[in-house]
Amino acid sequence: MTTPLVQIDMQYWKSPAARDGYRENPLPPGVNRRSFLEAAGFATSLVALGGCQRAPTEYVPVLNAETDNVRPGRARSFASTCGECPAACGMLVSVRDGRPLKMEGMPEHPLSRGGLCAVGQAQTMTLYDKHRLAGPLVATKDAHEESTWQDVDAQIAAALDKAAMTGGAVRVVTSSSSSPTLRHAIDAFLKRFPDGRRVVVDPTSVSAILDAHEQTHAARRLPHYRLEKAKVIVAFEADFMGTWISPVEFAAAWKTGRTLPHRQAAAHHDELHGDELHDEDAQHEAKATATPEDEKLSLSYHVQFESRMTLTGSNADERHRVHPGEFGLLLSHLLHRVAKLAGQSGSQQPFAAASVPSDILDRLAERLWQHRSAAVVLCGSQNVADQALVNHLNHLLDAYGNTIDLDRPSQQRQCDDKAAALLVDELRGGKVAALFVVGVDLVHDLPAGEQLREAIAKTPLSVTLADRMDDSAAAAKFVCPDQHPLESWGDAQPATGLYSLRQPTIRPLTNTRSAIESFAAWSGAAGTALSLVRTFWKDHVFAQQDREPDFTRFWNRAVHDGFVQTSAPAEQDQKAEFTGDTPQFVTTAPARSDLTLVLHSQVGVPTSRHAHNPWLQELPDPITKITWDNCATFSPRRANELGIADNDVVELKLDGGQTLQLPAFVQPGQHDDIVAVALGYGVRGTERFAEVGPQWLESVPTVGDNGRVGVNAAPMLKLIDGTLRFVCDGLSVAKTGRRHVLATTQLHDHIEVPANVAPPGSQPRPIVQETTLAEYAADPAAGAPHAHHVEGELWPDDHASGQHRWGMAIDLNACNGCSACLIACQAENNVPVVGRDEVARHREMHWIRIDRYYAGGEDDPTVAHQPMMCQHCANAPCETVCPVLATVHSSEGLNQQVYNRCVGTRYCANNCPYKVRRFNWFDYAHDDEFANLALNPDVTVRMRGIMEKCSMCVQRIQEGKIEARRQGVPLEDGAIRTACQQSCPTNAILFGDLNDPDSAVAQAAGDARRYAVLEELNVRPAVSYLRKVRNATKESDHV
Amino acid sequence: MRQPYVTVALIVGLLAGGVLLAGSAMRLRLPGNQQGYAPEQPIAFSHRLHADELQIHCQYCHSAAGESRHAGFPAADACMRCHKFVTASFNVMQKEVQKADAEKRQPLPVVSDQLRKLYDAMGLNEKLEPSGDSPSPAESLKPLRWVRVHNLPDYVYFDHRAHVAAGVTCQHCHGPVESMQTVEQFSTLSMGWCVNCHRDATAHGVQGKSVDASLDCATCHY
Repeated sequence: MTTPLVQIDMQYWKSPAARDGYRENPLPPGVNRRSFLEAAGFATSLVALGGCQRAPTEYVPVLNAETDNVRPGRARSFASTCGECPAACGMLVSVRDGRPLKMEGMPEHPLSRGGLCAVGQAQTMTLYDKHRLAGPLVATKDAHEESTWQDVDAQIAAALDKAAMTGGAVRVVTSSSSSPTLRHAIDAFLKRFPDGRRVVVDPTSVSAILDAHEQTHAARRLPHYRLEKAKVIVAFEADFMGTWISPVEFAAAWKTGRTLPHRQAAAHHDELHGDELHDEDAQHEAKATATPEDEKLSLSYHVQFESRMTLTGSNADERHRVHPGEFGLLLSHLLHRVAKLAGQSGSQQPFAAASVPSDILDRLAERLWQHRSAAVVLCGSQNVADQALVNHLNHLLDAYGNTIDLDRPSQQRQCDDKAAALLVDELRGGKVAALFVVGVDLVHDLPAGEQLREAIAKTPLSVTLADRMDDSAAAAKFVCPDQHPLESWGDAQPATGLYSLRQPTIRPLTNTRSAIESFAAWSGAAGTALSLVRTFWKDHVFAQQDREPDFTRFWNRAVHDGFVQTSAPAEQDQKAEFTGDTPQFVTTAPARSDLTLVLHSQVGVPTSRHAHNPWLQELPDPITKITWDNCATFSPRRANELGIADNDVVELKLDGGQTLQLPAFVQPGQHDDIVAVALGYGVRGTERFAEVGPQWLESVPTVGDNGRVGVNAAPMLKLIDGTLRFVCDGLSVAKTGRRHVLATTQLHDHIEVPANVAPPGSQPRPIVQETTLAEYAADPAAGAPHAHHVEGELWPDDHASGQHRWGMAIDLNACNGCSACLIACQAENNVPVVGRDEVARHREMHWIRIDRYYAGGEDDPTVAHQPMMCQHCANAPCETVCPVLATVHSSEGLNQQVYNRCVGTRYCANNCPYKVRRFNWFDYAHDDEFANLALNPDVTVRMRGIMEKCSMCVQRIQEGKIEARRQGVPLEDGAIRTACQQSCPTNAILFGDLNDPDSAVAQAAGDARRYAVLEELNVRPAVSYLRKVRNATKESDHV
Repeated sequence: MRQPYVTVALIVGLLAGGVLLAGSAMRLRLPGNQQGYAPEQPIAFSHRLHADELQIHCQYCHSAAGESRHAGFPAADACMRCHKFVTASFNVMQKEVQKADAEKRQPLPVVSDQLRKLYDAMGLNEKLEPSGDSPSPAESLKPLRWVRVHNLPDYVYFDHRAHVAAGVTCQHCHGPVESMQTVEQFSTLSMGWCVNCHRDATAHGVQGKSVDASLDCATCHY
């Protein structure tokens, strides 16, 4: 009998490597865990030793002269006028310790009404920009050399004398400028030349509107659209809340038609929503002050016909994708129908069918006719014939005098593309003796820029007032840099009867000179900008008003208020009557090529002037969510056909031979036959953004292959029939095989449950809730998905709120996604710029983001915008996981982030259901001392390795509380306004004390439309959203 | 697997670090604690003379304390309210007057070394007239650069307004400044010190007034 041998000291092994002594040890040989920790401990103590000494000495330079009312550390607001675009919104400049730091909207301003767009808010970045020119330059053989103003003026004067003697053509090219003093100064300067002319070249021209009014009203004017009076708004391609003429004004006006009174939930909903509102008082009070149910609920009706998805179109109640070539036909259809309704004959000829079904057009015409005198048709087309049809339509609808003011027209644009085309010809023909360029980059912004560059270089006297070395400046002989709007006196006249004043809020940082002063100097009547503006106002504005009899008082009041409303002189003479004869109906859509190029300006970077602003470059476009690039957008269907995916670099080629290579992006809601490209990119000088973000081993430069941010699409523009065309037929597309990654934030931080992990049968989360007006009228709580009953709390309510409980309410019905709040937050809270590569790695740092949702098919999606920031949950999931208590609840309901405690575990961000926390992966660039002047001294600049997020502007809360206490007055509702709330053109954001039942935010929180995002998690956010109510037509209930 | 030479190297390193710091060894303290810091100022300004002997109120010079987060340093002009006339100490000026009387002449202007620095900063000569021939006055001036004594870390936001409004005396935090020839940091200004005072104030009130001194992090950190 044999017993199997059992080896007692048997060694088990898992693999030969393990048997032969493999150990999972990442440490180098000879170092084990113990010695590593030992070394680490010693090293730490050594470093700590270094900390045990004096902090570096800090100095406090003091003023020599005492200044009245200036207190170190206290911000003061100065009324001024935004100079970033000719819309000239009113703004309040918050100045602290001599530095303008924050641009705020001016609530009293009759047009902008307290809002200020992203571009206006971001201007501190261009003020404190060391890349602005520091003084006058004169071209030598190879480069521009620094000079002095005396030298430059002497040389220019000599050249001008020659031009005056020979009678040569003197041309002053400006962009649309709403400054009457500047126009006056230029006209005074041009007087001495027999052939002197001021030419307006506007890269975002709306010249066709003015031309059409010349045809139909015998007055070349830009009408002043009064959208606040409109019950029906029909827009053709006009992105009036994004980039068209005066977006802030129009957004504010649009909002007046979208306002709903607070209503209480109907009885059977009380139970449903009782849990939501944790403040009994607020609920009770809201009920008491709720508007009676019988008040008529109404919303304006907004229809958008457009080829690409615009910000405005995304907010429309009814949106139709149409080819821009079809606008004439569509307008004719509408005009014909409205004319019939008006009892006129309409068109005698039959129409070809439009791509929009005829019953929809019938209904729209009916609606327009029903709301005549409260309807308006807007059109962004640069085809004068289209615009003339629009005028006929508006005339039939009795819009003139009601929703359109042509007697006191808008002065925001003076575009005259005929004159611009003539100038281009003159320049190319070498007929210009002296060229002055103000506020526009001819070479970059106009088609055939290369030829213009040569032409400018050949012009005997070429002067540009560019504040940067742009393409035109590079070709010009003299560069006489203009001042930043925040540095100089100036004015604006946004509309007839409204003058707006700009006052400097800082001494000029460099040796620049304002354009007004420059032209005064060249006309031999040198003076300071202040004296010139003041004189102009004395001679022209003062006489137009009768409120103040004394000029000094009038002037002081104007400086204090920032604007003056006047009764325009001889108003009767200003009347513009409709003189149009029979409209030229378009009966068939013109033949068009397979693909059409649509060029447009973008919300963040509306013109090439704004391309130098890192905040604006990093602002995700409200629709595409792309940062740091322009791209060619394709409709999903067309992209599919062409086999193009996002980030593929494509070559666009026009029949004329112009080509452009751009990354592609698939944009839902775009017309299949167009490719859209944003203008204003590929600007000279943006090379400096190559290293804008953190530089590390794997970082990728922020610029593209051309070394610049984006690609200049202006060479594709066309000047046809006296208008600058943004729509170009005859486009072909070819793939290049290359790829360029677009940094888009559209999939970042999404709070939807991914399909692959969603439990079967789970409903999509009702993150954006909406309803229609009809349903809302029947039931104030319509659109609520289902009630969430909370059975007890996991956590005891251990943080009872004290005196205040801060909360926010965001009205999704008002929010149009314009992203002004995003830049407001960035400026207020020192949010760093991270660069394209970091954005692509999901590491953008914005504290507030606008989530843009599509619903429905890819072809015609419905869009919703939802601002998302820290929800300051009462049961905050982030707070329970922080191992170092760096994020804790305050007694006032705020979720506090304590930077000096944070060690950067990022547990909180992982546990945040709203994905609103931002981690500092790097020490973001703060080595540009000049740019650091834009930092808000009230907010810590965060270091690497710590978490940050929306604080609900706690620095403003503290300021408001302390100031109220100092003055011994109770804290008023509305005394504290967060940065995002302050800037919002549509007042979509409310902030206040939920413990005060009378506060606006508590009232909103008691509204039946109120809901909380991800309510089912019972995190009890302090941010409420008010359901979106669309004025959507159903087949059954059209008006 | 202990590596004695590693330990030895580390101990040597630590000692070396200590030696390197020996120069400032006398100033070793807990990180962040600057108590007792009394830097030399550009002008040997005596708070004892001004605040105690002359009984000038704190907020006469630090006028922003009640209205702003910062107490503020007085503009040089504020000094000139008195020092336009007082250009040196009383004794020195008196001596010159007596001397001038004896010699039957107008007294010469006497300017003390310390006030000389103030006048220099403002671009004034001995007769307190603008000196220098620079066309732009702003460029010829060299503003005084006082050394900040009470300096909180960058992530702390202290507001003087709130404390002055609540009735906290200056001396409560800054100590008996009126007895200091050179100002020094009296309190630790550590977070524990702040929080204890806030607790105490909420419990017992400030000068008989009940106050709500918040203990929320965001009261000071944002």
